Amino acid sequence: MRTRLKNIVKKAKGISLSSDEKDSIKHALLKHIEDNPLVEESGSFQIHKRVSYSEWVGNYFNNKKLMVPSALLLLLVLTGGISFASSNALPGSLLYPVKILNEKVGLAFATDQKEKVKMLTLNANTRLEEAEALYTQGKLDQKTETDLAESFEEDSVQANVTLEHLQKDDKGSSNEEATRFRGDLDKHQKIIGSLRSQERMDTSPSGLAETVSKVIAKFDLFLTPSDDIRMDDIKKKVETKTVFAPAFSKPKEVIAENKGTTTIVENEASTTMLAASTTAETSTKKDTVDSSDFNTRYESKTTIKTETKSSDSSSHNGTINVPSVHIETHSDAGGSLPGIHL
Amino acid sequence: MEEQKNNFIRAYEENADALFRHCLFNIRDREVAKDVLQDTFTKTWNYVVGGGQILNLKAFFYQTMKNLIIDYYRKKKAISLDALSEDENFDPPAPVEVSIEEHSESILAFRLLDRIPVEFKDVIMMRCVQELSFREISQITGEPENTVAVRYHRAIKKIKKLFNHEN
Repeated sequence: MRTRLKNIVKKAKGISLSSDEKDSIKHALLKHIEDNPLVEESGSFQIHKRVSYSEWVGNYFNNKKLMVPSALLLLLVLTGGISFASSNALPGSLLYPVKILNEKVGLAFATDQKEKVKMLTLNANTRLEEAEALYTQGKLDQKTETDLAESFEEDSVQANVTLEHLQKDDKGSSNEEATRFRGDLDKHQKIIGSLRSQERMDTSPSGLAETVSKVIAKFDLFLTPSDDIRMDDIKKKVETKTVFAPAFSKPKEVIAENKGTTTIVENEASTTMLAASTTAETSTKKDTVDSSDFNTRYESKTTIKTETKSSDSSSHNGTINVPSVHIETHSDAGGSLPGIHL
Repeated sequence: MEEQKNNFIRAYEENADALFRHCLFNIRDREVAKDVLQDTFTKTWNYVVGGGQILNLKAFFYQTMKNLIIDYYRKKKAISLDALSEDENFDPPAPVEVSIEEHSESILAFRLLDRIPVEFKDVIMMRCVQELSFREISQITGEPENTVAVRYHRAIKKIKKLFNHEN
Protein backbone atom coordinates (compact mmCIF):
# COMPACT_ATOMS: atom_id res chain seq x y z
CA MET A 1 0.00 0.00 0.00
CA ARG A 2 2.78 2.31 0.98
CA THR A 3 4.57 1.74 -2.34
CA ARG A 4 1.43 2.34 -4.33
CA LEU A 5 0.79 5.57 -2.53
CA LYS A 6 4.40 6.53 -3.09
CA ASN A 7 4.03 5.82 -6.78
CA ILE A 8 1.00 8.03 -7.01
CA VAL A 9 2.78 10.84 -5.23
CA LYS A 10 5.83 10.36 -7.43
CA LYS A 11 3.71 10.59 -10.52
CA ALA A 12 1.92 13.61 -9.20
CA LYS A 13 5.25 15.26 -8.62
CA GLY A 14 6.18 14.52 -12.20
CA ILE A 15 3.35 16.69 -13.48
CA SER A 16 4.80 19.89 -14.82
CA LEU A 17 4.59 22.36 -17.61
CA SER A 18 6.32 21.44 -20.80
CA SER A 19 9.22 23.71 -21.65
CA ASP A 20 7.19 25.25 -24.49
CA GLU A 21 4.32 26.01 -22.17
CA LYS A 22 6.67 27.42 -19.62
CA ASP A 23 8.38 29.63 -22.19
CA SER A 24 5.16 30.89 -23.65
CA ILE A 25 3.90 31.93 -20.20
CA LYS A 26 7.29 33.50 -19.50
CA HIS A 27 7.10 35.55 -22.68
CA ALA A 28 3.61 36.67 -21.83
CA LEU A 29 4.79 37.61 -18.39
CA LEU A 30 7.82 39.51 -19.71
CA LYS A 31 5.56 41.41 -22.06
CA HIS A 32 3.27 42.24 -19.17
CA ILE A 33 6.25 43.43 -17.12
CA GLU A 34 7.45 45.62 -20.02
CA ASP A 35 3.96 47.08 -20.36
CA ASN A 36 3.71 47.75 -16.65
CA PRO A 37 7.15 48.81 -15.50
CA LEU A 38 7.96 49.53 -11.89
CA VAL A 39 7.70 53.19 -10.97
CA GLU A 40 8.97 55.26 -8.05
CA GLU A 41 5.89 54.58 -5.97
CA SER A 42 6.07 50.87 -6.59
CA GLY A 43 6.45 48.50 -3.72
CA SER A 44 8.91 45.69 -3.39
CA PHE A 45 8.97 41.99 -2.76
CA GLN A 46 11.20 39.55 -1.03
CA ILE A 47 11.86 36.15 -2.44
CA HIS A 48 11.27 34.02 0.56
CA LYS A 49 13.34 30.93 0.67
CA ARG A 50 13.69 29.13 3.94
CA VAL A 51 13.39 31.56 6.81
CA SER A 52 16.13 31.26 9.35
CA TYR A 53 15.21 31.37 13.00
CA SER A 54 16.84 34.74 13.61
CA GLU A 55 15.07 36.25 10.61
CA TRP A 56 11.79 34.87 11.80
CA VAL A 57 12.30 36.37 15.27
CA GLY A 58 13.28 39.65 13.58
CA ASN A 59 10.17 39.67 11.43
CA TYR A 60 8.03 38.76 14.37
CA PHE A 61 9.28 41.66 16.46
CA ASN A 62 9.11 44.06 13.53
CA ASN A 63 5.42 43.51 13.49
CA LYS A 64 4.30 46.37 15.71
CA LYS A 65 0.91 44.88 16.40
CA LEU A 66 2.49 41.87 18.01
CA MET A 67 5.36 43.65 19.69
CA VAL A 68 3.70 44.92 22.86
CA PRO A 69 1.71 41.80 23.73
CA SER A 70 4.62 39.52 22.98
CA ALA A 71 7.01 41.64 25.03
CA LEU A 72 4.57 41.54 27.93
CA LEU A 73 4.16 37.83 27.57
CA LEU A 74 7.90 37.35 27.49
CA LEU A 75 8.27 39.48 30.60
CA LEU A 76 5.55 37.54 32.34
CA VAL A 77 7.04 34.19 31.43
CA LEU A 78 10.53 35.26 32.40
CA THR A 79 9.58 36.88 35.69
CA GLY A 80 7.29 33.99 36.56
CA GLY A 81 10.09 31.57 35.78
CA ILE A 82 12.65 33.58 37.72
CA SER A 83 10.31 33.92 40.68
CA PHE A 84 9.78 30.21 40.69
CA ALA A 85 13.46 29.46 40.22
CA SER A 86 14.38 31.89 42.98
CA SER A 87 12.36 30.02 45.60
CA ASN A 88 15.33 27.78 46.34
CA ALA A 89 18.00 30.47 46.10
CA LEU A 90 20.47 30.87 48.95
CA PRO A 91 22.14 34.09 50.09
CA GLY A 92 24.95 35.03 47.73
CA SER A 93 23.23 33.61 44.65
CA LEU A 94 22.01 35.85 41.84
CA LEU A 95 18.35 35.03 42.40
CA TYR A 96 18.38 35.61 46.15
CA PRO A 97 17.28 39.27 45.91
CA VAL A 98 14.36 38.11 43.77
CA LYS A 99 13.37 35.69 46.48
CA ILE A 100 13.45 38.42 49.14
CA LEU A 101 11.47 40.72 46.86
CA ASN A 102 8.87 37.98 46.31
CA GLU A 103 8.51 37.59 50.06
CA LYS A 104 8.04 41.32 50.50
CA VAL A 105 5.46 41.47 47.74
CA GLY A 106 3.62 38.53 49.27
CA LEU A 107 3.62 40.27 52.63
CA ALA A 108 2.35 43.50 51.11
CA PHE A 109 -0.56 41.60 49.60
CA ALA A 110 -1.47 39.82 52.83
CA THR A 111 -5.10 40.69 53.43
CA ASP A 112 -5.58 39.90 57.10
CA GLN A 113 -3.52 39.58 60.27
CA LYS A 114 -3.58 35.81 60.27
CA GLU A 115 -2.19 35.60 56.75
CA LYS A 116 0.46 38.16 57.64
CA VAL A 117 1.53 36.12 60.64
CA LYS A 118 1.71 33.01 58.51
CA MET A 119 3.92 34.75 55.96
CA LEU A 120 6.18 36.31 58.57
CA THR A 121 6.70 33.03 60.39
CA LEU A 122 7.29 31.30 57.08
CA ASN A 123 9.90 33.90 56.15
CA ALA A 124 11.55 33.57 59.55
CA ASN A 125 11.67 29.79 59.10
CA THR A 126 13.11 30.24 55.60
CA ARG A 127 15.94 32.41 56.99
CA LEU A 128 16.88 29.66 59.42
CA GLU A 129 16.66 27.02 56.70
CA GLU A 130 18.96 29.11 54.52
CA ALA A 131 21.47 29.47 57.32
CA GLU A 132 21.35 25.74 57.95
CA ALA A 133 21.73 24.92 54.26
CA LEU A 134 24.66 27.30 53.91
CA TYR A 135 26.30 25.94 57.01
CA THR A 136 25.91 22.39 55.76
CA GLN A 137 27.56 23.42 52.51
CA GLY A 138 30.31 25.14 54.48
CA LYS A 139 29.47 28.52 52.98
CA LEU A 140 28.11 30.35 56.00
CA ASP A 141 30.41 33.25 56.78
CA GLN A 142 30.14 35.61 59.73
CA LYS A 143 28.44 38.40 57.78
CA THR A 144 25.81 36.20 56.19
CA GLU A 145 25.08 34.62 59.53
CA THR A 146 24.60 38.02 61.18
CA ASP A 147 22.41 39.19 58.30
CA LEU A 148 20.26 36.08 58.41
CA ALA A 149 19.97 36.23 62.20
CA GLU A 150 18.92 39.88 62.01
CA SER A 151 16.42 39.20 59.28
CA PHE A 152 15.05 36.23 61.22
CA GLU A 153 14.72 38.29 64.37
CA GLU A 154 13.05 41.10 62.51
CA ASP A 155 10.46 38.77 60.98
CA SER A 156 9.86 37.07 64.31
CA VAL A 157 9.39 40.34 66.16
CA GLN A 158 6.98 41.52 63.49
CA ALA A 159 5.14 38.21 63.73
CA ASN A 160 4.95 38.62 67.49
CA VAL A 161 3.55 42.12 67.21
CA THR A 162 1.01 41.00 64.60
CA LEU A 163 0.06 38.06 66.81
CA GLU A 164 -0.69 40.44 69.66
CA HIS A 165 -3.01 42.38 67.37
CA LEU A 166 -4.58 39.17 66.19
CA GLN A 167 -5.09 37.97 69.74
CA LYS A 168 -7.54 40.77 70.37
CA ASP A 169 -9.77 39.59 67.52
CA ASP A 170 -9.15 35.90 67.33
CA LYS A 171 -7.43 34.39 70.30
CA GLY A 172 -7.75 30.82 69.00
CA SER A 173 -5.90 31.30 65.75
CA SER A 174 -3.26 33.56 67.29
CA ASN A 175 -2.41 30.85 69.81
CA GLU A 176 -2.48 28.22 67.10
CA GLU A 177 -0.03 30.20 64.94
CA ALA A 178 2.24 31.00 67.85
CA THR A 179 2.33 27.36 68.93
CA ARG A 180 3.08 26.21 65.42
CA PHE A 181 5.92 28.68 65.04
CA ARG A 182 7.19 27.77 68.47
CA GLY A 183 7.31 24.12 67.31
CA ASP A 184 9.23 25.11 64.19
CA LEU A 185 11.70 27.05 66.27
CA ASP A 186 12.27 24.02 68.48
CA LYS A 187 13.13 21.95 65.45
CA HIS A 188 15.52 24.57 64.17
CA GLN A 189 17.13 24.90 67.56
CA LYS A 190 17.79 21.17 67.54
CA ILE A 191 19.19 21.28 64.02
CA ILE A 192 21.45 24.21 64.79
CA GLY A 193 22.53 22.46 67.96
CA SER A 194 23.49 19.34 66.05
CA LEU A 195 25.29 21.41 63.42
CA ARG A 196 27.26 23.13 66.11
CA SER A 197 28.26 19.82 67.62
CA GLN A 198 29.46 18.60 64.23
CA GLU A 199 31.63 21.70 63.80
CA ARG A 200 32.00 21.59 60.08
CA MET A 201 33.61 24.99 60.01
CA ASP A 202 35.89 26.96 62.25
CA THR A 203 33.01 29.14 63.29
CA SER A 204 29.79 27.66 64.54
CA PRO A 205 26.46 29.46 64.14
CA SER A 206 26.51 30.64 67.73
CA GLY A 207 25.02 34.06 66.98
CA LEU A 208 22.13 32.40 65.20
CA ALA A 209 21.58 29.96 68.04
CA GLU A 210 21.43 32.87 70.48
CA THR A 211 18.92 34.72 68.35
CA VAL A 212 16.76 31.62 68.06
CA SER A 213 16.80 31.17 71.85
CA LYS A 214 15.88 34.81 72.28
CA VAL A 215 12.92 34.50 69.93
CA ILE A 216 11.84 31.26 71.57
CA ALA A 217 11.81 33.05 74.93
CA LYS A 218 9.73 35.81 73.40
CA PHE A 219 7.17 33.39 72.06
CA ASP A 220 7.09 31.50 75.34
CA LEU A 221 6.22 34.75 76.99
CA PHE A 222 3.54 35.35 74.45
CA LEU A 223 2.05 31.92 74.90
CA THR A 224 2.18 31.75 78.71
CA PRO A 225 -0.02 34.62 79.81
CA SER A 226 -2.58 33.74 77.26
CA ASP A 227 -3.82 31.01 79.61
CA ASP A 228 -3.39 33.21 82.64
CA ILE A 229 -4.32 36.73 83.57
CA ARG A 230 -3.58 39.30 80.91
CA MET A 231 -0.91 41.57 82.27
CA ASP A 232 -2.12 44.54 80.34
CA ASP A 233 -5.57 44.26 81.83
CA ILE A 234 -4.33 44.30 85.38
CA LYS A 235 -1.99 47.12 84.66
CA LYS A 236 -4.77 49.22 83.24
CA LYS A 237 -7.14 48.52 86.08
CA VAL A 238 -4.57 49.19 88.76
CA GLU A 239 -3.55 52.36 87.00
CA THR A 240 -7.07 53.71 87.02
CA LYS A 241 -7.54 52.84 90.65
CA THR A 242 -4.33 54.53 91.63
CA VAL A 243 -4.99 57.69 89.79
CA PHE A 244 -8.62 58.15 90.70
CA ALA A 245 -9.95 56.25 93.69
CA PRO A 246 -8.17 53.21 95.05
CA ALA A 247 -10.72 50.41 95.47
CA PHE A 248 -9.58 46.90 96.18
CA SER A 249 -12.56 44.88 95.09
CA LYS A 250 -11.88 44.82 91.35
CA PRO A 251 -8.29 43.65 91.28
CA LYS A 252 -9.29 41.00 93.74
CA GLU A 253 -11.87 39.69 91.35
CA VAL A 254 -9.46 39.62 88.49
CA ILE A 255 -6.79 37.84 90.40
CA ALA A 256 -9.30 35.53 91.97
CA GLU A 257 -9.54 33.80 88.60
CA ASN A 258 -6.04 32.57 89.15
CA LYS A 259 -6.44 29.01 90.20
CA GLY A 260 -4.27 27.24 92.71
CA THR A 261 -3.00 30.24 94.59
CA THR A 262 -6.31 31.94 95.06
CA THR A 263 -6.21 32.77 98.76
CA ILE A 264 -2.74 34.09 98.96
CA VAL A 265 -3.00 35.97 95.75
CA GLU A 266 -6.03 37.75 97.01
CA ASN A 267 -4.17 38.77 100.08
CA GLU A 268 -1.25 39.75 98.03
CA ALA A 269 -3.35 41.82 95.69
CA SER A 270 -4.99 43.67 98.51
CA THR A 271 -1.64 44.20 100.15
CA THR A 272 -0.23 45.48 96.94
CA MET A 273 -3.13 47.77 96.45
CA LEU A 274 -2.70 49.00 99.96
CA ALA A 275 0.88 49.64 99.12
CA ALA A 276 -0.18 51.43 96.00
CA SER A 277 -2.56 53.66 97.82
CA THR A 278 -0.02 54.38 100.47
CA THR A 279 2.55 55.16 97.86
CA ALA A 280 0.16 57.33 95.98
CA GLU A 281 -0.68 59.23 99.13
CA THR A 282 2.89 59.76 100.12
CA SER A 283 3.85 60.73 96.62
CA THR A 284 1.73 63.84 96.82
CA LYS A 285 3.85 65.02 99.64
CA LYS A 286 7.29 63.85 98.59
CA ASP A 287 7.04 64.08 94.81
CA THR A 288 9.16 61.01 94.49
CA VAL A 289 6.77 58.18 93.72
CA ASP A 290 4.27 58.55 90.91
CA SER A 291 1.86 56.18 89.26
CA SER A 292 4.30 55.10 86.59
CA ASP A 293 6.77 54.23 89.28
CA PHE A 294 4.07 52.15 90.83
CA ASN A 295 3.27 50.48 87.56
CA THR A 296 6.86 49.51 87.07
CA ARG A 297 6.97 48.00 90.44
CA TYR A 298 3.66 46.29 90.02
CA GLU A 299 4.65 44.91 86.66
CA SER A 300 7.87 43.42 87.90
CA LYS A 301 5.98 41.93 90.74
CA THR A 302 3.38 40.35 88.53
CA THR A 303 6.01 38.82 86.31
CA ILE A 304 7.73 37.21 89.20
CA LYS A 305 4.43 36.07 90.55
CA THR A 306 3.63 34.29 87.32
CA GLU A 307 6.96 32.59 87.28
CA THR A 308 6.62 31.53 90.84
CA LYS A 309 3.24 30.12 90.12
CA SER A 310 4.36 28.07 87.20
CA SER A 311 7.37 26.71 89.02
CA ASP A 312 5.25 25.86 92.00
CA SER A 313 2.45 24.23 90.19
CA SER A 314 4.16 20.87 90.49
CA SER A 315 5.06 21.05 94.16
CA HIS A 316 1.88 22.82 95.33
CA ASN A 317 3.86 24.94 97.75
CA GLY A 318 3.01 28.19 96.10
CA THR A 319 0.97 29.38 99.05
CA ILE A 320 4.07 29.97 101.13
CA ASN A 321 6.50 30.96 98.44
CA VAL A 322 4.56 33.60 96.63
CA PRO A 323 4.50 36.24 99.39
CA SER A 324 8.20 35.84 100.09
CA VAL A 325 9.00 36.65 96.51
CA HIS A 326 6.93 39.75 96.76
CA ILE A 327 8.87 40.99 99.71
CA GLU A 328 12.06 40.78 97.73
CA THR A 329 10.59 42.54 94.80
CA HIS A 330 9.32 45.39 96.84
CA SER A 331 12.59 45.95 98.54
CA ASP A 332 14.31 45.79 95.14
CA ALA A 333 11.97 48.26 93.61
CA GLY A 334 12.62 50.87 96.18
CA GLY A 335 12.11 49.51 99.65
CA SER A 336 9.93 52.44 100.52
CA LEU A 337 7.20 50.34 102.12
CA PRO A 338 8.72 48.30 104.91
CA GLY A 339 5.46 48.26 106.81
CA ILE A 340 3.69 45.82 104.56
CA HIS A 341 6.38 43.19 104.24
CA LEU A 342 4.90 39.82 105.10
CA MET B 1 14.30 48.27 -11.07
CA GLU B 2 16.03 45.92 -13.47
CA GLU B 3 17.12 43.76 -10.59
CA GLN B 4 13.56 43.49 -9.29
CA LYS B 5 12.41 42.45 -12.73
CA ASN B 6 15.08 39.75 -13.00
CA ASN B 7 14.26 38.52 -9.52
CA PHE B 8 10.61 38.25 -10.46
CA ILE B 9 11.41 36.23 -13.59
CA ARG B 10 13.65 33.97 -11.55
CA ALA B 11 10.84 33.51 -9.02
CA TYR B 12 8.58 32.52 -11.92
CA GLU B 13 11.05 29.92 -13.14
CA GLU B 14 11.50 28.46 -9.67
CA ASN B 15 7.84 28.29 -8.75
CA ALA B 16 5.99 27.83 -12.05
CA ASP B 17 5.93 24.02 -12.00
CA ALA B 18 4.82 23.68 -8.41
CA LEU B 19 2.17 26.35 -8.82
CA PHE B 20 0.98 24.74 -12.02
CA ARG B 21 0.62 21.38 -10.28
CA HIS B 22 -1.27 23.01 -7.45
CA CYS B 23 -3.57 24.67 -9.93
CA LEU B 24 -4.05 21.56 -12.06
CA PHE B 25 -5.05 19.45 -9.08
CA ASN B 26 -7.65 21.99 -8.17
CA ILE B 27 -9.00 22.83 -11.60
CA ARG B 28 -8.41 19.57 -13.49
CA ASP B 29 -8.07 21.42 -16.75
CA ARG B 30 -4.62 21.93 -18.14
CA GLU B 31 -5.46 24.94 -20.32
CA VAL B 32 -7.36 26.75 -17.60
CA ALA B 33 -4.57 25.91 -15.17
CA LYS B 34 -2.07 27.54 -17.50
CA ASP B 35 -4.22 30.67 -17.73
CA VAL B 36 -4.63 30.82 -13.99
CA LEU B 37 -0.88 30.39 -13.59
CA GLN B 38 -0.18 33.29 -15.92
CA ASP B 39 -2.77 35.43 -14.17
CA THR B 40 -1.19 34.62 -10.85
CA PHE B 41 2.12 36.10 -11.94
CA THR B 42 0.70 39.11 -13.74
CA LYS B 43 -1.58 39.98 -10.83
CA THR B 44 1.28 39.68 -8.38
CA TRP B 45 3.41 41.96 -10.56
CA ASN B 46 0.57 44.47 -10.75
CA TYR B 47 0.33 44.44 -6.98
CA VAL B 48 4.03 45.30 -6.68
CA VAL B 49 3.78 48.02 -9.35
CA GLY B 50 0.81 49.46 -7.49
CA GLY B 51 2.94 49.94 -4.37
CA GLY B 52 2.34 46.68 -2.55
CA GLN B 53 4.97 45.22 -0.25
CA ILE B 54 5.43 41.48 -0.36
CA LEU B 55 7.41 39.82 2.39
CA ASN B 56 7.13 36.31 1.08
CA LEU B 57 6.71 36.11 -2.66
CA LYS B 58 6.13 32.36 -2.77
CA ALA B 59 3.33 32.51 -0.22
CA PHE B 60 1.87 35.47 -2.09
CA PHE B 61 1.79 33.46 -5.35
CA TYR B 62 -0.13 30.68 -3.65
CA GLN B 63 -2.55 33.07 -2.05
CA THR B 64 -3.19 34.83 -5.36
CA MET B 65 -3.64 31.50 -7.08
CA LYS B 66 -6.07 30.34 -4.42
CA ASN B 67 -8.16 33.46 -4.97
CA LEU B 68 -8.05 32.98 -8.74
CA ILE B 69 -9.16 29.36 -8.44
CA ILE B 70 -12.07 30.46 -6.28
CA ASP B 71 -12.92 33.10 -8.89
CA TYR B 72 -12.74 30.45 -11.60
CA TYR B 73 -15.23 28.20 -9.85
CA ARG B 74 -17.53 31.11 -9.20
CA LYS B 75 -17.51 32.15 -12.85
CA LYS B 76 -17.71 28.63 -14.19
CA LYS B 77 -21.06 27.77 -15.64
CA ALA B 78 -22.35 24.57 -17.01
CA ILE B 79 -21.12 24.23 -20.55
CA SER B 80 -23.01 22.02 -22.92
CA LEU B 81 -20.95 19.57 -24.92
CA ASP B 82 -23.12 20.20 -27.98
CA ALA B 83 -22.33 23.88 -27.87
CA LEU B 84 -18.66 23.04 -27.69
CA SER B 85 -18.69 20.69 -30.69
CA GLU B 86 -20.61 23.27 -32.68
CA ASP B 87 -17.83 25.70 -32.02
CA GLU B 88 -15.45 25.53 -34.95
CA ASN B 89 -12.43 26.47 -32.93
CA PHE B 90 -13.00 23.76 -30.36
CA ASP B 91 -10.16 21.34 -30.75
CA PRO B 92 -9.49 19.24 -27.69
CA PRO B 93 -5.86 18.11 -27.36
CA ALA B 94 -5.13 14.44 -27.78
CA PRO B 95 -4.82 12.77 -24.41
CA VAL B 96 -1.28 12.06 -23.25
CA GLU B 97 -0.36 8.43 -23.55
CA VAL B 98 -0.74 6.72 -20.20
CA SER B 99 -0.95 3.06 -19.34
CA ILE B 100 -4.27 1.72 -18.09
CA GLU B 101 -2.68 0.92 -14.78
CA GLU B 102 -1.30 4.39 -14.33
CA HIS B 103 -4.59 5.86 -15.33
CA SER B 104 -6.52 3.76 -12.85
CA GLU B 105 -4.07 4.61 -10.11
CA SER B 106 -4.36 8.29 -10.74
CA ILE B 107 -8.12 7.97 -10.79
CA LEU B 108 -7.91 6.15 -7.49
CA ALA B 109 -5.67 8.84 -6.07
CA PHE B 110 -8.02 11.61 -7.13
CA ARG B 111 -10.99 9.67 -5.89
CA LEU B 112 -9.35 9.29 -2.50
CA LEU B 113 -8.43 12.95 -2.40
CA ASP B 114 -11.94 13.93 -3.34
CA ARG B 115 -13.33 11.99 -0.44
CA ILE B 116 -11.47 13.90 2.21
CA PRO B 117 -12.36 17.45 3.23
CA VAL B 118 -10.98 20.13 0.96
CA GLU B 119 -8.66 21.62 3.58
CA PHE B 120 -7.17 18.16 4.15
CA LYS B 121 -6.71 17.72 0.45
CA ASP B 122 -4.95 21.06 0.06
CA VAL B 123 -2.51 20.35 2.81
CA ILE B 124 -1.76 16.87 1.40
CA MET B 125 -1.12 18.29 -2.02
CA MET B 126 1.11 21.06 -0.77
CA ARG B 127 3.08 18.80 1.52
CA CYS B 128 3.42 15.62 -0.56
CA VAL B 129 3.40 16.87 -4.10
CA GLN B 130 4.82 20.35 -3.83
CA GLU B 131 7.06 19.47 -0.90
CA LEU B 132 6.32 22.67 0.94
CA SER B 133 7.27 22.92 4.59
CA PHE B 134 4.58 23.31 7.23
CA ARG B 135 5.77 26.87 7.71
CA GLU B 136 5.33 27.65 4.05
CA ILE B 137 1.91 26.02 4.02
CA SER B 138 0.92 28.03 7.08
CA GLN B 139 2.04 31.21 5.33
CA ILE B 140 -0.02 30.31 2.28
CA THR B 141 -3.17 29.32 4.09
CA GLY B 142 -2.77 31.93 6.80
CA GLU B 143 -3.23 29.38 9.55
CA PRO B 144 -0.89 28.52 12.40
CA GLU B 145 1.90 26.08 11.60
CA ASN B 146 0.68 23.74 14.28
CA THR B 147 -2.80 23.60 12.81
CA VAL B 148 -1.34 22.73 9.42
CA ALA B 149 0.85 19.98 10.87
CA VAL B 150 -2.03 18.44 12.79
CA ARG B 151 -4.28 18.67 9.76
CA TYR B 152 -1.67 16.98 7.58
CA HIS B 153 -1.32 14.04 9.94
CA ARG B 154 -5.07 13.65 10.22
CA ALA B 155 -5.38 13.80 6.45
CA ILE B 156 -2.73 11.11 6.00
CA LYS B 157 -4.53 8.92 8.55
CA LYS B 158 -7.79 9.40 6.73
CA ILE B 159 -6.29 8.65 3.33
CA LYS B 160 -4.69 5.47 4.63
CA LYS B 161 -7.97 4.37 6.12
CA LEU B 162 -9.80 5.02 2.85
CA PHE B 163 -7.08 3.33 0.85
CA ASN B 164 -7.26 0.18 2.97
CA HIS B 165 -11.00 0.22 2.69
CA GLU B 166 -10.78 0.44 -1.11
CA ASN B 167 -8.48 -2.56 -1.29
